Amino acid sequence: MNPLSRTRALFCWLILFCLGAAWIARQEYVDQYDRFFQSTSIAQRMLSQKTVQHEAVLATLAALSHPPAPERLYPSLQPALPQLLGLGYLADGAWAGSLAAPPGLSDALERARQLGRPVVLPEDPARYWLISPSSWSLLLDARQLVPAADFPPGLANLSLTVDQTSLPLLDKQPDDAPGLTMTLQKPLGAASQPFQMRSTRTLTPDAWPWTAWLAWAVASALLMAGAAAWQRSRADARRQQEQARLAAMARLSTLGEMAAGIAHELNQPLTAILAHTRAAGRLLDDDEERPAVRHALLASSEQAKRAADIISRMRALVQPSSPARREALDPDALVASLRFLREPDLARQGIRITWHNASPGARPLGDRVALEQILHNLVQNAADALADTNGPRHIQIEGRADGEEYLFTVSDTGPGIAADALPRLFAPFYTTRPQGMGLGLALCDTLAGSMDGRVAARNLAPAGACFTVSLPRSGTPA
Amino acid sequence: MTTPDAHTHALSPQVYLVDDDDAVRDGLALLLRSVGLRSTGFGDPLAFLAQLSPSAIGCVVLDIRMPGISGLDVLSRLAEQSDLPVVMLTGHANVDLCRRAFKGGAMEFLQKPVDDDVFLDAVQAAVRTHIASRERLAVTQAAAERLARLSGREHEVLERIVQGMSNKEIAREFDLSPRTVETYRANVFAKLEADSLAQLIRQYATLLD
Repeated sequence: MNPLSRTRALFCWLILFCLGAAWIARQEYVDQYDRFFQSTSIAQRMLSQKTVQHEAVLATLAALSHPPAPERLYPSLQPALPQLLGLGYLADGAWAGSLAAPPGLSDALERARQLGRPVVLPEDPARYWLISPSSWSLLLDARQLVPAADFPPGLANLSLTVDQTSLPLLDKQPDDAPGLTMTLQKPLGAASQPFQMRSTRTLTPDAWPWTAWLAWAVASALLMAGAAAWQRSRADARRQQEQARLAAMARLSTLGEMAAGIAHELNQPLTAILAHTRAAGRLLDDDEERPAVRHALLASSEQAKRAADIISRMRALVQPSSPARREALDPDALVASLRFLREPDLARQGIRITWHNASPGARPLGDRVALEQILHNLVQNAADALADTNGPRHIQIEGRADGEEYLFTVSDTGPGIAADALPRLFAPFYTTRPQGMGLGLALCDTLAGSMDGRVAARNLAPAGACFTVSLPRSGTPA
Repeated sequence: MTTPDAHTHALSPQVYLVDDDDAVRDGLALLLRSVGLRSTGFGDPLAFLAQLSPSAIGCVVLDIRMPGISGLDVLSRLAEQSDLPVVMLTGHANVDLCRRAFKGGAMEFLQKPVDDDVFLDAVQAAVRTHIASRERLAVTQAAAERLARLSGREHEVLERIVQGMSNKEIAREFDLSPRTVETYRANVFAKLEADSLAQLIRQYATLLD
């Protein structure tokens, strides 16, 4: 894996991790907020219940026709209402109570009667008088409405505003704790005591989802490594396939290169022969130049021998001196390998190549490399013939057993073979292409002959050419 | 085949055959001899480049395909150190090779095996072209030497003569008597070895710019 893609993989992992971590954080926050919201609502209900209870107590006291003295009433009420600090009322215009009359009583009473419900008369930030229209009044301590231990555990800081300044009921977190702060504010439910309740909780780093994040970091790294490995192995496989294709192509195209090399090799002696004989012709009439003429003629015959040597070397290359190998070949595998090599190239030219095995199980006898070379050349010829066709471009390869022979046919939908070309088709150096060497079909014929087979050509109706390679069949008497 | 010393024959035309194939070199040398052209063969292009004298006259016949170094590379290195015209030979011609050879300064591009008439015509034309260009160079050099003999005032008078001014006009411009100008004019003709005004203008007008 190169450094660039390593960096890229790291980068991808980082992005993946950040996205996942953000999602985890959001889920965690939503959970925490839900719990906080529920706890705050419970606290608000608990406090509201208490304040409503005060109203009920006042209503009950007002309904008594012969109320007991407040000093005697207080000890019996106090155990049930720990927040109650004192009570009293105006008995025939005079204050009777367990404590002294609150200052501003008459104003508050006036207000209560106007509103038709109890009103609050604060003493200090924590304590307040609740004065009813009946003049029954309760002195209450807001700090003792609910014991701190009774609040739900999801709360951190809780405060109540009785008289402008806020009164802390719970204080589990310092105000400047670092982290994300959640805040809710609600008035209490009783109309007479609508104190603002404020609840805050800060999600400090120790409450963050570290474990989930760590787990996700490991999981996403594994995921990323797996994806990178999968991608790499796929690229490797593709490269190997491409290399195999190239190597096989190179093996088949050496023939063309060999022909070009031979052409160059032959050119040198031909140039020398031509120069020498022409020079000899020019010097022939000059007696003094007789040794030069003799030298020129000797040199040309030397060069002619050199050319002949080159040609016999070529023969030795094309016709292996050892007899061709004979083995039972699998036509399906053979054509599959050919299509593997040629299909991408042909697809680019818009040519479809198909294979039909009419006699599955039948095996031709021959040399695999030689037969591959023959089929490769025939497919190449067909592709060349299709290059200028406007109609369908299709090469069909078919294999079938025919008596003691196995036949491969390669047919195309091209223009077919010109009638005058047909008889000379397999002659060496005969070609209809401007760039052709005229060796392809001659070589196919030679190769087929070395395997006791042959190649034949015919035209198809309405158009196209069909080449047939016949080889001995495996399992029949030779 | 001739193997002359390059220095003694520097002034007579010589064809340099650069081809790695002995037989081809041998045959082409014999062909050249049949029309009286002397040649030197080189199997190794680098040895040829090392040995080539800048004053050599003639032409180079260069094969494109040689082991070790391409004929086109030899062509570009040859252009840096010599003005010899080059005839390229190739076994397999194609448009691209041909274009690159002409771009590199080749005078001819022939395909092997080459016809003797075509080959000899090309080589002879190249040699003639080179001799003509060398002669033009020699004439120009001699004229420049003569021009250097003139005094400052004589040079100024020559410039006016070439521009087509009369003696009177020249005398007025330099505030001289027409007779003095006449003397300068005679000196210019004598020093430059010119017989007529037409010859003077033809030989020296281009050198005065």
